[in-house]
Amino acid sequence: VAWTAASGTARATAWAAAVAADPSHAGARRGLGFLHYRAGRLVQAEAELRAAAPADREAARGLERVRRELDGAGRAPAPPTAASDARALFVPLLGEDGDAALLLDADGLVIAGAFRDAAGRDVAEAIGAQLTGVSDDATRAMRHLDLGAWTTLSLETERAVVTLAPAPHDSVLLVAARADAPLGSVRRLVERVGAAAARWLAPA
Amino acid sequence: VTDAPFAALLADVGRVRGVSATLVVGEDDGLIVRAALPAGMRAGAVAALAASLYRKARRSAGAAGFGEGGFMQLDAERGRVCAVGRAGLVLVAVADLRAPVGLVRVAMLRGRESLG
Repeated sequence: VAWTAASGTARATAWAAAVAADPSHAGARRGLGFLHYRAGRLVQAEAELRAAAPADREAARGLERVRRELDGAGRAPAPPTAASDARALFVPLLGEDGDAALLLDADGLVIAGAFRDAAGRDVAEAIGAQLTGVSDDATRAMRHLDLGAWTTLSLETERAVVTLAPAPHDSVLLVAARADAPLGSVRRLVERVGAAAARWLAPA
Repeated sequence: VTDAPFAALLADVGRVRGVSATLVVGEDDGLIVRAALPAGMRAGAVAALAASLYRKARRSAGAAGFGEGGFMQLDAERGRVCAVGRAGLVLVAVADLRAPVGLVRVAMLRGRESLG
């Protein structure tokens, strides 16, 4: 079966939508896991395949392979938590009602965290899709201007302040805080969430 | 004559200490509409990337249901890029670390009305 970039993107979108609707969807999680694996994102692949493995024999076999490669590369998988725990990774750090945090890979796929809109819909994947390549754009802009590495990107909106920050392995952190939150507290929240993401992604 | 308002807008923002370049850029195509730049700046690339960043940040905020995007600030080790958008245009300012961000923000939000 030919696997083109376009078909891969379409499948990733479909699988991400399936997982958003049903986080226990083993087939979609296996698909996302294999996509991460093909892109060399072993840590993310391990997390998706681990979530799918109990209900999916093929995912379990893939998980064994990914773990062998992670061991060979000297990189440990993420802590042995369920996929639902990855979505809850930042919850203990989010003090204010309305705070939210996401960890996205370079393609805008959600690695950890969760985001629900005012109606309670999971919009994490939709947010991530809009941020594909944002870290690369920021890096290139700073290079053209000779301003050094980018540290944060913040956007004020009607209801929130959204802050992006670079994270390990070309991932991007997104933190949203209420629009009236003091700037200093937002910065501290970004630092805490960034530290948690780095710990979670780091080898054991 | 039609771009005279943009000239005044760029001059207003450019008067803030530490601001080295100001541009009005199309949000979707990243093309420069008008700019006040120092010599040697690769303005085309900067304009395209600034517009792309603003567009992505604004659309992600829209996907989150946060409403209209306002002031954007990209901080780096030796300076920052600020942007505000309206009516398909983005006002961009490049500043060094001496620039008082509060003044830049006020000047840009005030000037945003001139975009359209």
